[in-house]
Order: sequence, then C-alpha cells, then structure tokens
Amino acid sequence: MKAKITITPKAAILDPQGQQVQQTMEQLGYGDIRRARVGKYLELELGDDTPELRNQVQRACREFLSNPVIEDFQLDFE
Amino acid sequence: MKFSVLQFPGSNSDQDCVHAVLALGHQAEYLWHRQTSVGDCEAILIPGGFSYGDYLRAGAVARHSPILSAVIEFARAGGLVLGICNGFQILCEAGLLPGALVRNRGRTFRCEHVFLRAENRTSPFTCAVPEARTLKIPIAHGEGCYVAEPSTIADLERHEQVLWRYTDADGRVSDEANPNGSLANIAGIGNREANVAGLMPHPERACEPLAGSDDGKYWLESMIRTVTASQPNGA
Repeated sequence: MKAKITITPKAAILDPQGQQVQQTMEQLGYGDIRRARVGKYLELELGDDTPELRNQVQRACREFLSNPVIEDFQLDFE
Repeated sequence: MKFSVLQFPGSNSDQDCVHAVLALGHQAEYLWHRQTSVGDCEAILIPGGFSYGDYLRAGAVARHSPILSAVIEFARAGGLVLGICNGFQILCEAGLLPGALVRNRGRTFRCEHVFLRAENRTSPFTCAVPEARTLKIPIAHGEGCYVAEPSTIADLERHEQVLWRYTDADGRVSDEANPNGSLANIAGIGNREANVAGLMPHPERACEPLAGSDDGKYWLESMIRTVTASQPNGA
C-alpha cells in the first residue's frame, strides 16, 4: 500500500513562496494566475493494508509530518 | 552556575552559547542530540542553526530527538530552558511554546542587528534588563515570522508572555522595525509558567563590545540571577 500526503500552508498563513511563484508566473505571461500556494508532497511505501496502519499514518501526519498550527494535510491511500 | 548547550547535526551557534557563558565566568557543557539525560545542569540553551538540515520543517526532527525528551522532562520540572533562533523553532514544534515560525514576510534571509524591547522585566529571562533600555541584538534567519491563532496571541498578551518585541532604536514598535512580519512584532515569548522561553534574535552573539553590542549578556545574567536566587545558600 502507498500513502500520498499533500501538506499545504493554512489559508490564513502568509505564504511568501506562493506569492513569489504567483508574481513570477504573472510576469512571465502565463495568464490569469490569481493565487499560488506552495506546499510539500510525500509518498510513503507501506506494508499490508490494515486499519491500524492507516491510523498510524494518519497520526504521523498530524503529529510529525505536518504542523497543525500552520499547515493542513490531505492523506490518500492507494 | 552550570548551563548545558544542546548540539544537533546542523547546530551552528552552540559554540557561541558556550563562549558567552564562559565569558561571564560560569560553566557550560555540550549535550549531544543522542544523549538521553540532561545531567546535573541548572539551565539549558537550545542554540541556533539548522538542526537536521531543517528537513521537513525547522525544528520538526530535533523535536523528536532523544535529548529533547530529557529537555521536556527538565522543563516540566521547572528547569530554565532558552531556545534561540532554531532553538525557538524547536520549542514551538515540541509544544513547549505556542505558535510557529514561518518564512519571513519579505522572503529574504535577514542577517543584521535589530532593536528589541523587553516587555516583561520580571521573567527569569529578562529580570536583569535595565529599565527603559532597548537592546541591540543580531538576527540571522529566513524563517522567523512568528504566527499563532488570534486567541493564542491574545492569551500571550494577557499573561505577559510576550517577552521581547522588535522596535526601533527608541523602543517604538513599528512595521518598519519588524524584520520578518512576526505578528504584533513578537521577537520572543515565554510559557505560562515562565521557565521556558524562545526568541529569534541571537543574544549569545552580542555578549562582548567586540561583537558590536554586549546587550545579549542580560539574557544569561537574568537566568543566572534567577537560578542563584533560588539556591538556599545563594551560591
């Protein structure tokens, strides 16, 4: 099983990297780019699918891989 | 008095911290990140740098290192812990201090002297600061913008946990004096119990006139005053 995790800065948190990407894309003429948010993407290779393992990965996302003060995460298994 | 200074792979202000303590005539020893005990030290400094390369997030990996469990235990028992720069980020990640540090608002790494005002001169980290004095201290960080929920900021203000704010040379809080976009110009905070504090500026790099300022010595002197005052023989 694989876990695919996307971590993004919370909407209320200033994202200077995202702002820079948006501004540069605009300067380069890539069209109507209104906002960019820069986050992280992680892929974890996991053992056999069990509810316990899913819970553990969920917990890792909350406690280690993301910081709930400043980030949101989305976790998908496949 | 004996300080311990943590060392992680990627720490770079550990020697500055030890030098500052020794220059004041006190003792300092290093604690390697794999150690599981803080030994017999009376206060802990978590230095600046890029612990574990700042991988994942600044402080996120150091927070789970063996030595941090011992530091958390030491702090919960009332021991004095000061986190400087990356040390502040580690303390926030560890939940010993509220909030988080994110990338500077202006996107640039800021390396310069700034002015600070000690907001609460009764804490173990500020009690030696002379009244009405702004403190000239260097900063060197790319991720020093302090953020927290509005309710957390209100709590910090209500309980006088904001210990240092970025100001101009005359002690005035202004947007121009804020080098990184920190909410409410916050440069450093303490916990509710007042025994754990963190800040982005580097007082340990400003403890001798040769370094451009010796205002940094007030941080260590405050901690020393607090610890020696709590000892029965005043030693």
